[in-house]
Amino acid sequence: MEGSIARQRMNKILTHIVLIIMSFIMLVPFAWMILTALKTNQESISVNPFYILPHNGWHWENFATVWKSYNFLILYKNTLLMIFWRVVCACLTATMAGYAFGRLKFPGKSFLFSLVLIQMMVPAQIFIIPQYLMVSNMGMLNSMFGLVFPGLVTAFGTYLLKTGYEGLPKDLEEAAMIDGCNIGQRFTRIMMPLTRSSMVSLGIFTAVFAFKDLMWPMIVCTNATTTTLSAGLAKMQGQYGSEYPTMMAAATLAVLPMVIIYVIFQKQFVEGIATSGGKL
Amino acid sequence: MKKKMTLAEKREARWAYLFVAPTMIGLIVLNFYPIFNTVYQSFCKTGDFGKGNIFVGLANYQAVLSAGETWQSLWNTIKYALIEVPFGIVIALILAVLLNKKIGGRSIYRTIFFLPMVCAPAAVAMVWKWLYNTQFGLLNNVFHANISWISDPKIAWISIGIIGVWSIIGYNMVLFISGLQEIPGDYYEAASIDGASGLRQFFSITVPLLSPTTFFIVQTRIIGALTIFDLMFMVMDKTNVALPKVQSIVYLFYQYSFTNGNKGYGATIVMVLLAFIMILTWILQQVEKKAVYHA
Amino acid sequence: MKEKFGKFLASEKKKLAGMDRRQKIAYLAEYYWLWALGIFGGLFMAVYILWHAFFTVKDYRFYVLFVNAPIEASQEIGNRSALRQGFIDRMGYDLKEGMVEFGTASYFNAAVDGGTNNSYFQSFVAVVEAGHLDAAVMEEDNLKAVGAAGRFLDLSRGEAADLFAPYADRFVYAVPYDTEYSEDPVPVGIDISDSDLGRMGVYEDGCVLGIGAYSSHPEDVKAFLEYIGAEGRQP
Repeated sequence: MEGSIARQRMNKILTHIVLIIMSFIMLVPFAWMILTALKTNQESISVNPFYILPHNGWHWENFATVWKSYNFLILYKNTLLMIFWRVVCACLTATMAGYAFGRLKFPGKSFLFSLVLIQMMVPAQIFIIPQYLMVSNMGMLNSMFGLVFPGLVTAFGTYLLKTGYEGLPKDLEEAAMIDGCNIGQRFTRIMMPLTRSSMVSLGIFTAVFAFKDLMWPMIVCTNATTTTLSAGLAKMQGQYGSEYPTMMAAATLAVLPMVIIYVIFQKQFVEGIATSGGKL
Repeated sequence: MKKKMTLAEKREARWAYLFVAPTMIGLIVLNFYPIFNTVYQSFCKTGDFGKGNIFVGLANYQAVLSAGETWQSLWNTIKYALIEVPFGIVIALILAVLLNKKIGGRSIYRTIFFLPMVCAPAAVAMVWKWLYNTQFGLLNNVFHANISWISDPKIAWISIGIIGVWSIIGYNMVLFISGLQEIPGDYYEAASIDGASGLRQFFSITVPLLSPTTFFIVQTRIIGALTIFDLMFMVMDKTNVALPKVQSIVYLFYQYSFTNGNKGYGATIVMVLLAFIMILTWILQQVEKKAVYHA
Repeated sequence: MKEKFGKFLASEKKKLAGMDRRQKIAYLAEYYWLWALGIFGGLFMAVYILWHAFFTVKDYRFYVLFVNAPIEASQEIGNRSALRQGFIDRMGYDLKEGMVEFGTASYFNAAVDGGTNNSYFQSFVAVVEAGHLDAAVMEEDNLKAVGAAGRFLDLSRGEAADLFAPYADRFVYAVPYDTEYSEDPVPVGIDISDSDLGRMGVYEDGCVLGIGAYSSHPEDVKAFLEYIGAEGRQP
C-alpha cells in the first residue's frame, strides 16, 4: 500500500515536470510579446547582442502610447459583440445540424454531409470576394451584421457537434422515446445538454477564429467606429511599421480579452465532468 | 427499388431536414455559390485589365496538370502534413490525458497551452526567426552547429513543420480535452476495481472511447494541413532560396489568383487540390467505418 | 398532418388551461424555447436584411484608396478631410444615393512580396474585382506590380484611351503577367507627384494613380485628377 502511494506521488511529480517543460515551450512567444513591448525599438530588433529582458529600463509607456492612439474601448466592444454573435449563431445552427447528422436517419444525409466537408477543403480566400459582394448588395457594409455574416453557419462546428452526438450512448434516447418525447423534445431536453463540452470547444474555436479573422473586418468596415481589434491592430502595424515594441504592446492589449474569455470558458469544461458523470 | 418509409421514419426525416436547414441554406449561400463560381472560373481565362472571364474549356487543366510546380507544391504540402498531423496529434493527446487527471494547477496549464492560439503572429514569427537564426540563434548556439534551418531546402520543410506542430498543439488539445470529458468516469472506476493499470486503462478505455474525437481531429487536421497557406511566410522571406521546396499548393493558388491576376489558373489549382483531398477523405471515411468505436 | 397538428394544439391547450400565468410562461419556456428563439431570430433576421436591402445606400459613387499613406495623413486626405468634402461639393454628389470613400487604411507593397499574406492586399483585390474601386494612389514600383496583374485599367485601349489622352506624357507602364494580352509595356497609371496632392508630402518619393480595372466611373476619376491639380496637356 505504501509503495503504491509513493508511486502515485512519483507519477504526479513526473506529470508536473512534463507539463512545466511543455508550458515553457508554449509560453515563450507570449512572454516574448510582453517583453518586447517593454523594450526600446533598438533593443527589440538586435539579435547580437541578444537581450531577453529589457536592457535600458522597462518602457511601460509603450502601452500608454498605444492606448491613447486608438480608441480601445470601442475596439473591445466591437470585437466582443462580433465574437458573441458568431458564437451564438455557430452554436445554435451547428448543434441542430450536428444532432441531425449524428443521430437521425434521413434520405440524402451522406450527400448533405459531404457538402459540409467540401466547404472545409477549399482555401478560404475564394470566399472573400463573393461574400463581400453579398454584404455590399445587402447594404450591410459597416454594420455588425456585415461583421458576423461569414460566421452565420459553420461547417467545422457542424462536423464537431456531429462527432459529439455520435459518441453519446443510445439507451438514453431510447428511454426518452418510450416516455413519449418527440424528437424535438429529445433534442432540447436530453441530448443537447450532454454535448456541453463539444459546444464549449466550438465556442472557444469560433471566438478564436473570429478574433484572428483580420481580413474580413477590414474589408467590410472602412469606418473607424465599426472596426474590430485585429483590424485596428493591423492598422497600427501600418502606422508603426517596424516599431516592434509599440506593435507588441498593441498585440498584448488586444489578446487580453481573449485570454479572459478562455479562462471563463474552460471552467465550463470542468463543470462538464460533473454533469455528464452524474447522468450516466 | 426505393423502400417505402414508415411513418416514424418519415417523421424523423422531417425533423432532420428542419434541423439541417439553417446550416445547409447558410452553406449554400455563403460557400457553395463561391465554390461554383470557382468551378466555372477554372474553365475560363482571366488576365484581367477588366476583361472578365473568357471561356477556354480545359486549357487551364492541361496547363496546371503539366506544370512541374503544381506537383512540387502538392508534394511540399504532403510532406508538411506528414509532420504536422501525426506529431501534433500525439503530443496533444498526451497533454490532454495528463491534464484530464486531477492534478493541481490544471486550469493554469490549460490556459498556458491555449495562449499560442491567440498570440500575435508577429510575436510568434519573431521568436521562431530568432530561434532559427544561423549565426545568433538559440538552436545553433545550444547544439554548437551551423545549420541553416530555414534556407537549406533539405531542412527547411522540417523547420516549418515544427512550427506547424507547435502552433496546432493547443487546438488539438482543447478538442481532446472536451472529448475526454464526455467519457463517463464510472468506466475508469470499474476498471480500477478490476485492477487494470493506468496504461491498460488508457488503451482499453480511453483510446476506443476517444476514437470518434481522434478521427475528427485526424480528418480536420489533414484538411487543415493540406490547405496551409501563410505559415511559411511568418519566418521565410520572399528571397529565400528554399521557398520553392516548401511553398504550399494554396500559396501557388494565391500567387496566380491574387498576385498575378490569373484567376482561372488559380481556380484550377483549387480544383486539383479539392480532388486530391476528396479522394483522401473518401479513403478516411472507409477507414472510419472499421476503426472507430461507436457507442 | 393537419388533423394531427390540430390534435396536438388541443392537447397543449388543455395542458395550459389548468395553469396560472406564471406556470404557463414557465411551461412554454421549458418546452418551446428553441422554437421561440428560432422563429423570433428568423423573423428578426428577415426584417433586418430586407430593411437594409431596400433602405440603405449600397453603391459607391466614388471610391479612391490611398495605399501606404501614413496614419497622420488621414486627417488631410481621409474620409473626414476637407479634400473629400471639397470634391463632393465640386461634383455635387448626393451622399444619400451613393457613398464616397477616401480610404487610407491600406498598407501593402506588391513589388516587395506580391501582397502575399497581406490582408490589406486581399481586401484591395476584393474592392477592385467588385467594381467598387475607382482609383488608387500608391508608389510607382508598387503600382507597376499591381498593374502588371491587370488590376488597373489599360490606358491605351478603349474609352480610357480617349479620356486620359491628356495625361499621356505622365503614363507609368508595366509589362503584364498575361503575355497573351500584351508583351509590351502597357500604361496602367498616371504620375501625380507634381499635383497639389503630390505636393502635400503624403508620399515622399512621389505617387502614381491607377484606375480600377472594373471601375464604372472613369470620367469621375478624370474630374478627380483635375480637382487635385494634375494638369493634362491637350494633344
